[in-house]
Amino acid sequence: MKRATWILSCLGMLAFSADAMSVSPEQERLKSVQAVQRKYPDIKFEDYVYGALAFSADAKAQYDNMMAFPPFESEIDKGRALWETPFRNGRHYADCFPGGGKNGAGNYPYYDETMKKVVTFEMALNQCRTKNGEAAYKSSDMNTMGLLTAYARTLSDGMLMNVKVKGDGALAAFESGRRFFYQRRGQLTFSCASCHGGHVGEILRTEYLSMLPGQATHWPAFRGGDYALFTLQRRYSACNQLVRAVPMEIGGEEYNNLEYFHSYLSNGLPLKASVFRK
Amino acid sequence: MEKPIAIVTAASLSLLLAATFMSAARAAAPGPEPSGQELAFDNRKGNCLACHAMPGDPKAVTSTNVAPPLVGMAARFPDRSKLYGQIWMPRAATPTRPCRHSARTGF
Repeated sequence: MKRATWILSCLGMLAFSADAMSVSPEQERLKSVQAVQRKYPDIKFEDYVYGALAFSADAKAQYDNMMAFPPFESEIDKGRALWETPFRNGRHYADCFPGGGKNGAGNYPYYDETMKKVVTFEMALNQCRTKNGEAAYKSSDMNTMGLLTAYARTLSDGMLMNVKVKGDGALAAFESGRRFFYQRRGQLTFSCASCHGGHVGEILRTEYLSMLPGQATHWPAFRGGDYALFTLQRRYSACNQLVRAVPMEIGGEEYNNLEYFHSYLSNGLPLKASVFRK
Repeated sequence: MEKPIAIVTAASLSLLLAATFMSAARAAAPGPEPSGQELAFDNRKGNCLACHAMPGDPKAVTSTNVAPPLVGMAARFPDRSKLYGQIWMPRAATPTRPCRHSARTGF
């Protein structure tokens, strides 16, 4: 009897895990979009890119005002200088990307079948550097990689997020990102989903909680009163610290996989860099 | 009509704060012990206001609507130990809710 129960529960676990795996990335994306649509039928899909701002006309108006003359424009110009300055061999970043880097960032992250890992836009910029004999930037360094992406991503403004998950390796990386999103962590034992799952649009003390679809589209962001530059992965790191977890490495595989999952769930939504966020 | 509600709210808040205080006492922090209100309001401590409004307390400044507002606590938790348990380990009663375990976080 005991044995039978044991076998049955194992079968149950198998059925459960098979079920979890059988949700395709596209089903996962639709599920998360539909959840927001059911809760907030008046918010347009294309406005999901504004995240928390989509819930407050006031905050959105302030954002629009600020974006008319961004106070951090000189920072983006520094990024432009980095992008345009040729490498010592005379070549440019633009030579590494189809279309000179225009309308490409929405294809990242992608799963590289030869490297067997996820490649983010930041990694592609570093690949371009090393291919041309330059040292790679640290992904966590906002004064180099941060500024560079603050400009380079503007070249893809308006491009629709277009992340693809095809093949077993890609699916495994997507799954790993998905697990990260739903797994509780840190001393406070919050997962990303604890707040950005069922509580989207609700107010955490004073701030609205943004919806998952669209979250990966507006990066990097200049945040708060001092316009500190945050790439998406720096935001992951800060968020992990808020729930009192030891953050993962910015540019490391865990966050890359999370960004892969996260970006896929923003598919079909327009990119914009570099923006203001609180 | 207003008055009994106010009394219930005040009573319930003090009950809640007292319960928070009890768990604080266990932490055995050095220095003067924070009041229940400090624990409940401070975002580095209990941070209750992140998710729970306290409509009965004008000093509880928050716009949150994530979790049930803390009103009528005396009526909702006639058994004081249940209230203590809820603060100590919220997920025992509501496993899917975000609210964290005071027990694990040391508050």
